[in-house]
Amino acid sequence: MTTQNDNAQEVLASLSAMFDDEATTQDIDCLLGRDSASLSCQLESFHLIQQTLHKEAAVDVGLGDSLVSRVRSQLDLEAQLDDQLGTVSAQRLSNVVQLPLVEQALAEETKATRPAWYGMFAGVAVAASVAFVIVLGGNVLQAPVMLETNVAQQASPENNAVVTPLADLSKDTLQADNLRLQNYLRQHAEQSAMTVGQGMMPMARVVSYPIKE
Amino acid sequence: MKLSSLVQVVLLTLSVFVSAIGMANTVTPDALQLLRQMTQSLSTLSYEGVFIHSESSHMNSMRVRHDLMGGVEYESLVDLDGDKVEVLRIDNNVICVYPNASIANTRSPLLPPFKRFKDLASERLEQGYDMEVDEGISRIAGRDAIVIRLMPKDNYRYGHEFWLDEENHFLLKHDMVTAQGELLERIQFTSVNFSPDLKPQDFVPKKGSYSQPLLEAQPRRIKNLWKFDWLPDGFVLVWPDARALNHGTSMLLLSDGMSTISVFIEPSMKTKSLSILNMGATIAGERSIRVGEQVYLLTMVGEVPKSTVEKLMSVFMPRSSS
Repeated sequence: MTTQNDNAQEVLASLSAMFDDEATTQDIDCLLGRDSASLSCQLESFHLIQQTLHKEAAVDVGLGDSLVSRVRSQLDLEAQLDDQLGTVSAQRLSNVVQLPLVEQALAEETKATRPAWYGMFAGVAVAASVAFVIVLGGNVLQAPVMLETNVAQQASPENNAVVTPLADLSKDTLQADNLRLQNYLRQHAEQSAMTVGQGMMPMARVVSYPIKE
Repeated sequence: MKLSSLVQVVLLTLSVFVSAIGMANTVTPDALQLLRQMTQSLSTLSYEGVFIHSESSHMNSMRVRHDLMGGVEYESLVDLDGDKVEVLRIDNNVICVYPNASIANTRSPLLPPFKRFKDLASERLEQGYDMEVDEGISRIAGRDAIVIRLMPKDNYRYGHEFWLDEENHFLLKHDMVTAQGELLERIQFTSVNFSPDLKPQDFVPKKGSYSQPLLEAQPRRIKNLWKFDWLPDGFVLVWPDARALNHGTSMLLLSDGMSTISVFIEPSMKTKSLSILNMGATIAGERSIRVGEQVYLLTMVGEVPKSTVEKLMSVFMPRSSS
């Protein structure tokens, strides 16, 4: 009896977390094992409570029997993407120096942003011939705020440098950062070519940089 | 008669002495003079050649052509690997040529990468480097070459080795090395012809390719609101003002006459810890700095050691408003 109550409480807590968009993996696992119809009823109740508290007009939030099935579909889709990414990642990494940290970083990035990775890899496949390899070097923490899941910042000392194609850093914020950095690299090369007496080297850098828009 | 003979002997001796000095200068010119001639040769000689550019694990081959025909200067640089993008310059007209329109749409147009070089900054070079001309003769791309070494006087820059054509001082090979002699980046010609049979038609984009003429936009100059509390010997700001880029970014350029460091500063919404990235000899450092309530993202890119970028980032600050 106590166990049943505990389970019910656990389901309610998980459902509440899901309603508040704070569900963890355990919450989702817990809910997936439950009856979809009863969960939907409970969710409708939560929504009514919220409407009352916030004096909102009633809206159709689409909480039908399909809720759990939609969660399952989403998980299936992500699993499929995982498989595809695994294949593409393996092909991609076979072309660069493979270090454990690269795989670890890729795994972490993949978990965090699967759909973004998928789109990025499709782009990388097109641009593979001009992959722009950056060696991520040292990292000294100075500012208080860190960018989340930033491979560049996780990699530290130079002698443990991780060879990572810049294009592989595919989170949206990082992608924007990378484009900005690539633009700066080229601005630098162009100005260097015209400013100093190094001859061909800065010119070659300008042509080598595969800036993609 | 005797006086006349004496004068003749004196003049003869003098002329032999002067020509001997002249010959000595021709045979062993100083490194700065050779570097200056190297810079000039790139824009005055006619040549066609293929060279390799290698850095880190990346290698690219390129073909370069240059000629003066009917008083008009023609140049072309083609990336022989990858997307085979070509940059053409006919006098001041620059054209980017792509194999097709779809590649053109995915690439940013290139600005003229090899316009006329500025004169060598001899004084600044001497502050930063010890220079020597190797006594021996090397052989690169089938041609005899003189070797010039630029050895850094401190740890804030890399060393350079130049192999110049003995005959015309054209740059045949260039290595950038660490203080320990480790190779960071290399340019080396595999073949070069100084009597190319080039015609204006050789500089016309091929049929079916996609060409995009470029207008070189004059950079907008803005007041430089930033300064460095310290700079390595020989490094100075190349422009007195800053250059305005898109999105409120200001660009400054530092150089010691050989190495350059570009500085980009832009307003930012978020703070960022220092991160350092590198590719061959090129180091890029990023971090945010706070001035009052405003956060700025500072990015430095240059062919200098990591420690130089780190130190420069720590001494970069706004000029006082007075």
